[in-house]
Amino acid sequence: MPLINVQYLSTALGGEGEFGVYLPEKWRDAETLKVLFLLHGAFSEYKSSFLYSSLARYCETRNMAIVAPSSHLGVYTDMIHGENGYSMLKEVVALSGKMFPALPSEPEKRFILGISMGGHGAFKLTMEQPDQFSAVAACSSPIDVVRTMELLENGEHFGGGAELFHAFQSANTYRGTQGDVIEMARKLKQEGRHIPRLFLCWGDEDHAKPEDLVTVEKFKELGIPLTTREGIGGHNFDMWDPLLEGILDWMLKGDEVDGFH
Amino acid sequence: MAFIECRDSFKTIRNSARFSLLLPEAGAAAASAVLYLLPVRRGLSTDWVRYTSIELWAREKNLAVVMPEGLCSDFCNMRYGMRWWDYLTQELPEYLHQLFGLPQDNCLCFGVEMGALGSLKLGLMGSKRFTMAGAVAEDFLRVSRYGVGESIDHDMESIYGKAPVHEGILAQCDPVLIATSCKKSDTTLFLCHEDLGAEEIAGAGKRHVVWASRAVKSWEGYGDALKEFLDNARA
Repeated sequence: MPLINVQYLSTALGGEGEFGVYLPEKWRDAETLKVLFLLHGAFSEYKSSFLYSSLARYCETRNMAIVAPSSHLGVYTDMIHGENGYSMLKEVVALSGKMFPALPSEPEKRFILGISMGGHGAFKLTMEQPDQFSAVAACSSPIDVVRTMELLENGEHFGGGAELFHAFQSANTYRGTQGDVIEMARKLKQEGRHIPRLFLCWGDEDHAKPEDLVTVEKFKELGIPLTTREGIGGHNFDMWDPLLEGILDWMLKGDEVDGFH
Repeated sequence: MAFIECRDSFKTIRNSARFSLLLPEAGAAAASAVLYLLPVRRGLSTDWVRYTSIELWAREKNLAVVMPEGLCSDFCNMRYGMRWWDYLTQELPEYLHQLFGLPQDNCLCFGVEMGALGSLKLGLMGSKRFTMAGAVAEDFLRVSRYGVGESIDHDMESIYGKAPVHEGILAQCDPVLIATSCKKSDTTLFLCHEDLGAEEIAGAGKRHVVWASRAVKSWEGYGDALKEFLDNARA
Protein backbone atom coordinates (compact mmCIF):
# COMPACT_ATOMS: atom_id res chain seq x y z
CA MET A 1 0.00 0.00 0.00
CA PRO A 2 1.25 3.46 -0.81
CA LEU A 3 3.58 5.51 1.28
CA ILE A 4 3.23 8.89 -0.37
CA ASN A 5 6.00 11.43 -0.03
CA VAL A 6 5.05 15.11 -0.05
CA GLN A 7 7.56 17.94 -0.35
CA TYR A 8 6.09 21.40 -0.04
CA LEU A 9 7.00 25.01 0.51
CA SER A 10 6.63 25.47 4.24
CA THR A 11 5.68 28.89 5.48
CA ALA A 12 6.54 27.79 9.01
CA LEU A 13 10.04 26.61 8.10
CA GLY A 14 10.71 29.25 5.49
CA GLY A 15 11.81 26.51 3.11
CA GLU A 16 11.04 22.97 2.11
CA GLY A 17 8.93 20.84 4.38
CA GLU A 18 8.29 17.13 4.02
CA PHE A 19 5.72 14.64 5.21
CA GLY A 20 4.62 11.13 4.38
CA VAL A 21 1.12 9.76 4.00
CA TYR A 22 0.50 6.05 4.36
CA LEU A 23 -2.81 4.75 3.05
CA PRO A 24 -4.36 1.43 4.01
CA GLU A 25 -5.81 -0.71 1.24
CA LYS A 26 -9.41 0.23 2.08
CA TRP A 27 -8.85 4.00 2.23
CA ARG A 28 -11.85 4.56 -0.01
CA ASP A 29 -14.12 3.29 2.78
CA ALA A 30 -14.89 6.67 4.32
CA GLU A 31 -17.09 5.09 6.96
CA THR A 32 -14.23 3.22 8.65
CA LEU A 33 -11.16 5.22 7.64
CA LYS A 34 -9.24 6.85 10.49
CA VAL A 35 -6.08 8.94 10.50
CA LEU A 36 -3.10 8.77 12.81
CA PHE A 37 -0.70 11.71 12.97
CA LEU A 38 2.68 10.18 13.69
CA LEU A 39 5.48 12.29 15.16
CA HIS A 40 8.95 10.77 15.03
CA GLY A 41 11.71 11.06 17.59
CA ALA A 42 14.97 13.02 17.62
CA PHE A 43 17.88 12.39 15.22
CA SER A 44 15.40 11.02 12.73
CA GLU A 45 12.80 11.77 10.05
CA TYR A 46 9.36 10.43 9.26
CA LYS A 47 10.44 7.30 7.39
CA SER A 48 12.27 5.92 10.41
CA SER A 49 9.06 4.89 12.16
CA PHE A 50 8.06 2.89 9.08
CA LEU A 51 11.49 1.31 8.70
CA TYR A 52 12.02 0.29 12.32
CA SER A 53 8.49 -0.81 13.23
CA SER A 54 5.53 -2.63 11.70
CA LEU A 55 3.22 0.30 12.36
CA ALA A 56 2.01 0.42 8.74
CA ARG A 57 0.90 -3.21 8.97
CA TYR A 58 -0.84 -2.58 12.28
CA CYS A 59 -2.65 0.41 10.79
CA GLU A 60 -3.54 -1.56 7.68
CA THR A 61 -5.68 -4.01 9.65
CA ARG A 62 -7.41 -1.11 11.43
CA ASN A 63 -8.06 0.92 8.26
CA MET A 64 -6.01 3.77 9.61
CA ALA A 65 -4.08 6.19 7.42
CA ILE A 66 -0.90 7.77 8.73
CA VAL A 67 0.26 11.36 8.25
CA ALA A 68 3.87 11.76 9.37
CA PRO A 69 5.80 15.04 9.21
CA SER A 70 9.57 15.29 9.34
CA SER A 71 10.75 17.59 12.12
CA HIS A 72 14.36 16.43 12.38
CA LEU A 73 15.57 18.19 15.55
CA GLY A 74 12.75 20.70 15.64
CA VAL A 75 11.33 19.21 18.88
CA TYR A 76 7.87 20.14 17.48
CA THR A 77 8.52 23.49 19.03
CA ASP A 78 8.96 26.98 17.66
CA MET A 79 12.55 27.00 18.86
CA ILE A 80 14.07 30.05 20.42
CA HIS A 81 17.17 29.44 18.32
CA GLY A 82 16.10 27.21 15.45
CA GLU A 83 13.21 26.17 13.28
CA ASN A 84 9.51 26.62 13.90
CA GLY A 85 8.81 22.94 14.50
CA TYR A 86 5.45 23.43 16.19
CA SER A 87 4.10 25.75 13.51
CA MET A 88 5.30 23.21 10.96
CA LEU A 89 3.36 20.45 12.74
CA LYS A 90 0.16 22.47 12.70
CA GLU A 91 0.83 23.38 9.08
CA VAL A 92 1.12 19.71 8.06
CA VAL A 93 -2.05 18.75 9.92
CA ALA A 94 -3.91 21.49 8.05
CA LEU A 95 -2.25 20.84 4.68
CA SER A 96 -2.88 17.11 4.79
CA GLY A 97 -6.59 17.80 5.10
CA LYS A 98 -6.53 20.10 2.09
CA MET A 99 -4.32 17.91 -0.08
CA PHE A 100 -5.95 14.62 0.87
CA PRO A 101 -9.67 15.34 1.18
CA ALA A 102 -10.23 11.58 1.47
CA LEU A 103 -8.75 11.69 4.98
CA PRO A 104 -11.35 12.02 7.75
CA SER A 105 -11.84 15.37 9.44
CA GLU A 106 -14.11 14.17 12.26
CA PRO A 107 -12.30 14.46 15.61
CA GLU A 108 -13.40 10.97 16.67
CA LYS A 109 -11.46 9.55 13.73
CA ARG A 110 -8.24 11.50 14.34
CA PHE A 111 -5.44 10.34 16.63
CA ILE A 112 -1.87 11.38 17.42
CA LEU A 113 1.09 9.19 18.32
CA GLY A 114 4.48 10.60 19.28
CA ILE A 115 7.66 8.63 19.62
CA SER A 116 10.13 10.02 22.16
CA MET A 117 10.57 13.69 21.19
CA GLY A 118 7.38 13.36 19.15
CA GLY A 119 5.33 12.73 22.28
CA HIS A 120 5.92 16.30 23.43
CA GLY A 121 4.54 17.63 20.16
CA ALA A 122 1.64 15.18 20.26
CA PHE A 123 0.53 16.19 23.76
CA LYS A 124 1.10 19.87 23.06
CA LEU A 125 -1.04 19.85 19.91
CA THR A 126 -3.73 17.86 21.70
CA MET A 127 -3.88 20.34 24.57
CA GLU A 128 -4.03 23.28 22.17
CA GLN A 129 -6.66 21.68 19.91
CA PRO A 130 -8.49 19.29 22.25
CA ASP A 131 -11.61 19.26 20.09
CA GLN A 132 -9.71 18.04 17.03
CA PHE A 133 -8.54 14.63 18.23
CA SER A 134 -9.97 11.56 19.89
CA ALA A 135 -6.86 10.29 21.65
CA VAL A 136 -3.13 10.88 21.95
CA ALA A 137 -0.33 8.50 22.85
CA ALA A 138 3.32 9.10 23.62
CA CYS A 139 6.12 6.56 23.80
CA SER A 140 9.03 7.41 26.14
CA SER A 141 8.47 11.12 25.78
CA PRO A 142 9.48 14.33 27.55
CA ILE A 143 5.88 15.48 27.95
CA ASP A 144 6.81 17.85 30.75
CA VAL A 145 9.60 19.81 29.09
CA VAL A 146 9.97 22.13 32.07
CA ARG A 147 10.98 19.11 34.16
CA THR A 148 13.29 17.93 31.36
CA MET A 149 15.01 21.32 31.30
CA GLU A 150 15.41 21.32 35.08
CA LEU A 151 17.16 17.95 34.87
CA LEU A 152 19.37 19.22 32.08
CA GLU A 153 20.30 22.36 33.96
CA ASN A 154 21.17 20.28 37.04
CA GLY A 155 23.24 17.84 35.00
CA GLU A 156 20.86 15.03 35.93
CA HIS A 157 19.44 14.33 32.49
CA PHE A 158 20.45 11.21 30.55
CA GLY A 159 22.27 13.33 28.02
CA GLY A 160 19.79 15.37 25.98
CA GLY A 161 21.67 17.59 23.60
CA ALA A 162 22.12 21.23 22.86
CA GLU A 163 19.01 21.15 20.70
CA LEU A 164 16.87 21.24 23.83
CA PHE A 165 18.58 24.44 24.98
CA HIS A 166 18.18 25.83 21.46
CA ALA A 167 14.51 24.98 21.54
CA PHE A 168 13.52 25.94 25.08
CA GLN A 169 16.50 27.92 26.43
CA SER A 170 15.71 27.07 30.07
CA ALA A 171 13.07 25.69 32.39
CA ASN A 172 12.15 29.18 33.54
CA THR A 173 11.87 30.48 30.00
CA TYR A 174 9.42 27.74 29.04
CA ARG A 175 7.46 27.41 32.28
CA GLY A 176 3.91 28.68 31.89
CA THR A 177 4.24 29.41 28.18
CA GLN A 178 1.80 28.29 25.50
CA GLY A 179 3.91 25.15 25.04
CA ASP A 180 4.07 24.07 28.70
CA VAL A 181 1.95 20.92 28.42
CA ILE A 182 1.25 20.55 32.14
CA GLU A 183 0.05 24.13 32.36
CA MET A 184 -2.02 23.71 29.20
CA ALA A 185 -3.66 20.61 30.72
CA ARG A 186 -4.26 22.40 34.02
CA LYS A 187 -5.96 25.26 32.17
CA LEU A 188 -8.20 22.92 30.18
CA LYS A 189 -9.19 21.16 33.39
CA GLN A 190 -9.94 24.44 35.16
CA GLU A 191 -12.08 25.63 32.27
CA GLY A 192 -13.96 22.34 32.27
CA ARG A 193 -13.14 21.73 28.64
CA HIS A 194 -13.03 18.37 26.89
CA ILE A 195 -9.65 16.62 27.07
CA PRO A 196 -8.96 13.75 24.64
CA ARG A 197 -7.92 10.39 26.08
CA LEU A 198 -4.22 10.31 27.00
CA PHE A 199 -1.69 7.49 26.97
CA LEU A 200 1.97 7.30 27.98
CA CYS A 201 4.34 4.34 27.93
CA TRP A 202 8.03 3.77 28.64
CA GLY A 203 10.42 0.86 28.89
CA ASP A 204 11.66 -0.75 32.11
CA GLU A 205 15.23 0.07 31.04
CA ASP A 206 14.28 3.32 29.36
CA HIS A 207 16.19 6.49 30.28
CA ALA A 208 12.91 8.37 29.85
CA LYS A 209 11.24 6.33 32.60
CA PRO A 210 12.04 8.66 35.53
CA GLU A 211 10.75 11.69 33.62
CA ASP A 212 7.63 9.86 32.52
CA LEU A 213 6.89 8.75 36.08
CA VAL A 214 7.01 12.40 37.17
CA THR A 215 4.63 13.24 34.32
CA VAL A 216 2.25 10.52 35.54
CA GLU A 217 2.25 12.05 39.02
CA LYS A 218 1.53 15.51 37.65
CA PHE A 219 -1.47 14.32 35.67
CA LYS A 220 -2.67 12.44 38.74
CA GLU A 221 -2.45 15.69 40.73
CA LEU A 222 -4.43 17.44 38.03
CA GLY A 223 -7.08 14.73 38.15
CA ILE A 224 -6.73 14.06 34.42
CA PRO A 225 -6.87 10.37 33.40
CA LEU A 226 -3.65 9.10 31.82
CA THR A 227 -3.42 5.47 30.75
CA THR A 228 0.08 4.04 31.11
CA ARG A 229 2.06 0.93 30.24
CA GLU A 230 5.61 -0.19 30.89
CA GLY A 231 7.29 -2.07 28.08
CA ILE A 232 10.26 -4.37 28.25
CA GLY A 233 13.53 -2.82 27.16
CA GLY A 234 15.13 0.52 26.49
CA HIS A 235 14.52 3.64 24.48
CA ASN A 236 14.14 2.06 21.03
CA PHE A 237 11.76 0.35 18.61
CA ASP A 238 12.59 -3.08 20.05
CA MET A 239 10.63 -1.91 23.07
CA TRP A 240 8.05 0.30 21.33
CA ASP A 241 7.02 -1.96 18.46
CA PRO A 242 5.46 -4.72 20.64
CA LEU A 243 3.32 -2.03 22.28
CA LEU A 244 2.05 -0.36 19.12
CA GLU A 245 -0.87 -2.67 18.34
CA GLY A 246 -2.10 -2.32 21.90
CA ILE A 247 -1.81 1.46 21.65
CA LEU A 248 -3.84 1.53 18.44
CA ASP A 249 -6.53 -0.67 19.98
CA TRP A 250 -6.58 1.57 23.04
CA MET A 251 -7.02 4.57 20.74
CA LEU A 252 -9.91 2.93 18.94
CA LYS A 253 -11.63 1.12 21.78
CA GLY A 254 -10.52 2.72 25.03
CA ASP A 255 -9.39 1.26 28.32
CA GLU A 256 -11.95 -1.55 28.34
CA VAL A 257 -9.95 -3.40 25.70
CA ASP A 258 -6.51 -4.47 26.79
CA GLY A 259 -4.64 -5.25 23.61
CA PHE A 260 -1.24 -5.28 25.29
CA HIS A 261 0.69 -8.52 25.41
CA MET B 1 3.70 23.87 -5.07
CA ALA B 2 3.80 20.55 -3.28
CA PHE B 3 5.72 17.75 -5.00
CA ILE B 4 4.15 14.41 -4.27
CA GLU B 5 5.50 10.97 -5.13
CA CYS B 6 3.30 7.91 -4.87
CA ARG B 7 3.41 4.23 -5.75
CA ASP B 8 0.34 2.07 -5.42
CA SER B 9 -1.21 -1.08 -6.87
CA PHE B 10 -3.71 -0.73 -9.68
CA LYS B 11 -6.16 -3.35 -10.85
CA THR B 12 -6.05 -2.41 -14.52
CA ILE B 13 -2.35 -3.15 -14.83
CA ARG B 14 -2.37 -5.86 -12.14
CA ASN B 15 0.78 -4.30 -10.79
CA SER B 16 2.10 -1.31 -8.92
CA ALA B 17 2.85 1.95 -10.68
CA ARG B 18 4.49 5.15 -9.61
CA PHE B 19 3.33 8.66 -10.34
CA SER B 20 4.31 12.15 -9.29
CA LEU B 21 2.09 15.15 -8.68
CA LEU B 22 2.49 18.88 -8.39
CA LEU B 23 -0.31 20.37 -6.35
CA PRO B 24 -1.00 23.84 -5.00
CA GLU B 25 -0.43 23.78 -1.24
CA ALA B 26 -4.08 24.71 -0.86
CA GLY B 27 -5.03 21.43 -2.52
CA ALA B 28 -6.34 20.36 -5.91
CA ALA B 29 -9.54 22.36 -5.53
CA ALA B 30 -7.45 25.53 -5.78
CA ALA B 31 -5.96 24.56 -9.15
CA SER B 32 -7.22 26.27 -12.29
CA ALA B 33 -6.72 23.14 -14.43
CA VAL B 34 -5.11 19.70 -14.40
CA LEU B 35 -2.23 18.88 -16.72
CA TYR B 36 -1.46 15.24 -17.52
CA LEU B 37 2.22 15.22 -18.44
CA LEU B 38 3.22 11.93 -20.01
CA PRO B 39 6.69 10.39 -20.02
CA VAL B 40 8.98 9.24 -22.77
CA ARG B 41 9.40 5.53 -23.40
CA ARG B 42 10.63 3.88 -20.18
CA GLY B 43 10.65 7.32 -18.59
CA LEU B 44 10.26 8.04 -14.91
CA SER B 45 7.55 10.04 -13.23
CA THR B 46 10.18 12.50 -12.03
CA ASP B 47 11.69 13.22 -15.47
CA TRP B 48 9.65 16.35 -16.19
CA VAL B 49 10.45 17.83 -12.80
CA ARG B 50 14.15 17.07 -13.08
CA TYR B 51 14.73 18.08 -16.70
CA THR B 52 12.41 21.07 -17.10
CA SER B 53 11.00 23.98 -15.10
CA ILE B 54 7.49 22.55 -14.96
CA GLU B 55 7.11 23.35 -11.26
CA LEU B 56 7.77 27.02 -11.94
CA TRP B 57 5.32 27.11 -14.84
CA ALA B 58 2.68 25.15 -12.94
CA ARG B 59 2.95 27.64 -10.09
CA GLU B 60 2.62 30.58 -12.49
CA LYS B 61 -0.50 29.10 -14.06
CA ASN B 62 -1.82 27.50 -10.88
CA LEU B 63 -1.95 24.02 -12.42
CA ALA B 64 -2.13 20.64 -10.80
CA VAL B 65 0.24 18.36 -12.73
CA VAL B 66 -0.04 14.58 -12.97
CA MET B 67 3.08 12.74 -14.12
CA PRO B 68 2.46 9.00 -14.51
CA GLU B 69 4.78 6.33 -15.85
CA GLY B 70 3.96 4.00 -18.72
CA LEU B 71 7.02 1.79 -19.21
CA CYS B 72 7.17 0.82 -22.90
CA SER B 73 3.46 0.62 -23.65
CA ASP B 74 2.55 3.42 -26.07
CA PHE B 75 -0.19 3.82 -23.41
CA CYS B 76 -2.08 0.94 -25.01
CA ASN B 77 -3.82 -2.07 -23.59
CA MET B 78 -0.86 -4.23 -24.58
CA ARG B 79 -1.22 -7.45 -26.52
CA TYR B 80 1.37 -9.06 -24.25
CA GLY B 81 1.48 -6.83 -21.21
CA MET B 82 -0.47 -4.47 -19.06
CA ARG B 83 -3.62 -2.45 -19.75
CA TRP B 84 -1.99 0.97 -19.62
CA TRP B 85 -4.75 2.70 -21.60
CA ASP B 86 -7.37 1.64 -19.07
CA TYR B 87 -5.01 2.74 -16.28
CA LEU B 88 -4.41 6.17 -17.81
CA THR B 89 -7.98 6.93 -18.82
CA GLN B 90 -10.01 5.24 -16.09
CA GLU B 91 -8.34 4.00 -12.94
CA LEU B 92 -5.73 6.72 -12.41
CA PRO B 93 -8.10 9.71 -12.88
CA GLU B 94 -10.64 8.08 -10.58
CA TYR B 95 -7.94 7.39 -8.00
CA LEU B 96 -6.68 10.97 -8.16
CA HIS B 97 -10.20 12.31 -7.87
CA GLN B 98 -10.98 10.20 -4.82
CA LEU B 99 -7.70 10.72 -2.98
CA PHE B 100 -6.71 14.27 -3.84
CA GLY B 101 -10.03 15.66 -5.05
CA LEU B 102 -8.48 16.28 -8.47
CA PRO B 103 -11.12 17.59 -10.90
CA GLN B 104 -11.98 15.33 -13.82
CA ASP B 105 -12.77 18.14 -16.22
CA ASN B 106 -10.85 21.16 -17.48
CA CYS B 107 -7.77 19.05 -18.22
CA LEU B 108 -4.78 19.47 -20.50
CA CYS B 109 -2.37 16.79 -21.65
CA PHE B 110 1.09 16.94 -23.09
CA GLY B 111 3.71 14.41 -24.03
CA VAL B 112 6.82 13.93 -26.07
CA GLU B 113 8.00 10.82 -27.87
CA MET B 114 5.94 7.89 -26.52
CA GLY B 115 4.11 10.32 -24.27
CA ALA B 116 3.02 12.24 -27.38
CA LEU B 117 1.20 9.18 -28.61
CA GLY B 118 -0.52 8.85 -25.25
CA SER B 119 -1.35 12.54 -25.12
CA LEU B 120 -2.78 12.57 -28.64
CA LYS B 121 -4.97 9.57 -27.86
CA LEU B 122 -6.10 11.17 -24.61
CA GLY B 123 -7.06 14.32 -26.47
CA LEU B 124 -8.89 12.53 -29.26
CA MET B 125 -10.33 9.48 -27.51
CA GLY B 126 -10.08 10.09 -23.79
CA SER B 127 -13.09 12.31 -23.28
CA LYS B 128 -14.23 15.88 -23.79
CA ARG B 129 -12.54 16.94 -20.58
CA PHE B 130 -9.24 17.61 -22.39
CA THR B 131 -9.38 21.11 -23.79
CA MET B 132 -5.93 20.89 -25.37
CA ALA B 133 -3.53 18.06 -26.14
CA GLY B 134 0.14 18.59 -26.94
CA ALA B 135 2.00 15.87 -28.83
CA VAL B 136 5.46 16.50 -30.22
CA ALA B 137 8.74 14.75 -30.97
CA GLU B 138 7.06 11.53 -32.08
CA ASP B 139 6.84 9.57 -35.30
CA PHE B 140 3.07 9.18 -35.62
CA LEU B 141 3.46 6.82 -38.58
CA ARG B 142 5.41 4.36 -36.45
CA VAL B 143 2.41 2.20 -35.66
CA SER B 144 1.11 1.98 -39.23
CA ARG B 145 4.63 1.23 -40.47
CA TYR B 146 5.13 -1.60 -37.99
CA GLY B 147 5.81 -4.89 -39.74
CA VAL B 148 7.24 -3.35 -42.88
CA GLY B 149 10.72 -4.76 -43.39
CA GLU B 150 12.57 -7.70 -41.93
CA SER B 151 13.69 -6.53 -38.51
CA ILE B 152 11.84 -7.71 -35.43
CA ASP B 153 10.79 -5.05 -32.94
CA HIS B 154 10.11 -6.83 -29.67
CA ASP B 155 8.71 -3.72 -28.00
CA MET B 156 6.17 -3.23 -30.77
CA GLU B 157 5.34 -6.93 -30.73
CA SER B 158 4.62 -6.78 -27.00
CA ILE B 159 2.30 -3.84 -27.51
CA TYR B 160 0.54 -4.70 -30.76
CA GLY B 161 1.20 -8.40 -31.31
CA LYS B 162 2.91 -9.88 -34.30
CA ALA B 163 2.72 -7.94 -37.56
CA PRO B 164 0.51 -7.41 -39.41
CA VAL B 165 -1.50 -5.80 -36.67
CA HIS B 166 -5.17 -6.68 -36.47
CA GLU B 167 -7.38 -3.94 -37.92
CA GLY B 168 -9.35 -3.64 -34.71
CA ILE B 169 -6.18 -2.93 -32.75
CA LEU B 170 -4.96 -0.44 -35.33
CA ALA B 171 -8.24 1.46 -35.11
CA GLN B 172 -7.60 1.97 -31.40
CA CYS B 173 -3.86 2.63 -31.57
CA ASP B 174 -2.83 4.17 -34.89
CA PRO B 175 -2.93 7.95 -34.29
CA VAL B 176 -3.69 8.82 -37.91
CA LEU B 177 -6.59 6.37 -38.07
CA ILE B 178 -7.85 7.66 -34.72
CA ALA B 179 -7.69 11.25 -35.94
CA THR B 180 -9.55 10.27 -39.11
CA SER B 181 -12.32 8.43 -37.34
CA CYS B 182 -12.62 10.89 -34.48
CA LYS B 183 -13.71 13.95 -36.46
CA LYS B 184 -15.72 15.82 -33.88
CA SER B 185 -13.16 16.20 -31.14
CA ASP B 186 -13.37 19.55 -29.36
CA THR B 187 -9.79 19.21 -28.21
CA THR B 188 -7.29 21.69 -29.62
CA LEU B 189 -4.12 19.93 -30.76
CA PHE B 190 -0.57 21.22 -30.37
CA LEU B 191 1.61 19.53 -32.99
CA CYS B 192 4.90 20.01 -34.80
CA HIS B 193 5.11 20.19 -38.60
CA GLU B 194 8.35 18.23 -38.64
CA ASP B 195 6.93 15.19 -36.83
CA LEU B 196 6.04 12.37 -39.21
CA GLY B 197 2.27 11.99 -39.44
CA ALA B 198 1.46 15.31 -37.77
CA GLU B 199 0.16 16.87 -41.03
CA GLU B 200 -2.07 13.85 -41.65
CA ILE B 201 -3.48 14.10 -38.13
CA ALA B 202 -4.10 17.82 -38.48
CA GLY B 203 -5.79 17.28 -41.85
CA ALA B 204 -8.17 14.63 -40.54
CA GLY B 205 -11.31 16.27 -39.23
CA LYS B 206 -12.10 19.87 -38.48
CA ARG B 207 -10.22 20.55 -35.31
CA HIS B 208 -8.19 23.48 -34.20
CA VAL B 209 -4.43 22.94 -34.38
CA VAL B 210 -1.68 25.09 -32.89
CA TRP B 211 1.69 24.45 -34.46
CA ALA B 212 4.90 24.40 -32.43
CA SER B 213 7.38 27.05 -33.48
CA ARG B 214 10.22 24.54 -33.87
CA ALA B 215 11.00 20.85 -33.75
CA VAL B 216 12.49 19.35 -30.60
CA LYS B 217 14.26 16.04 -30.30
CA SER B 218 15.63 15.73 -26.78
CA TRP B 219 15.24 17.02 -23.24
CA GLU B 220 17.25 20.04 -24.37
CA GLY B 221 14.10 21.21 -26.14
CA TYR B 222 11.21 19.34 -24.55
CA GLY B 223 10.86 21.97 -21.84
CA ASP B 224 10.64 24.74 -24.44
CA ALA B 225 7.90 22.84 -26.26
CA LEU B 226 5.99 22.34 -23.02
CA LYS B 227 6.30 26.01 -22.15
CA GLU B 228 5.02 27.00 -25.60
CA PHE B 229 2.12 24.57 -25.20
CA LEU B 230 1.20 26.03 -21.81
CA ASP B 231 1.39 29.56 -23.15
CA ASN B 232 -1.09 28.59 -25.85
CA ALA B 233 -3.40 26.70 -23.53
CA ARG B 234 -6.39 28.44 -22.04
CA ALA B 235 -6.03 27.12 -18.52
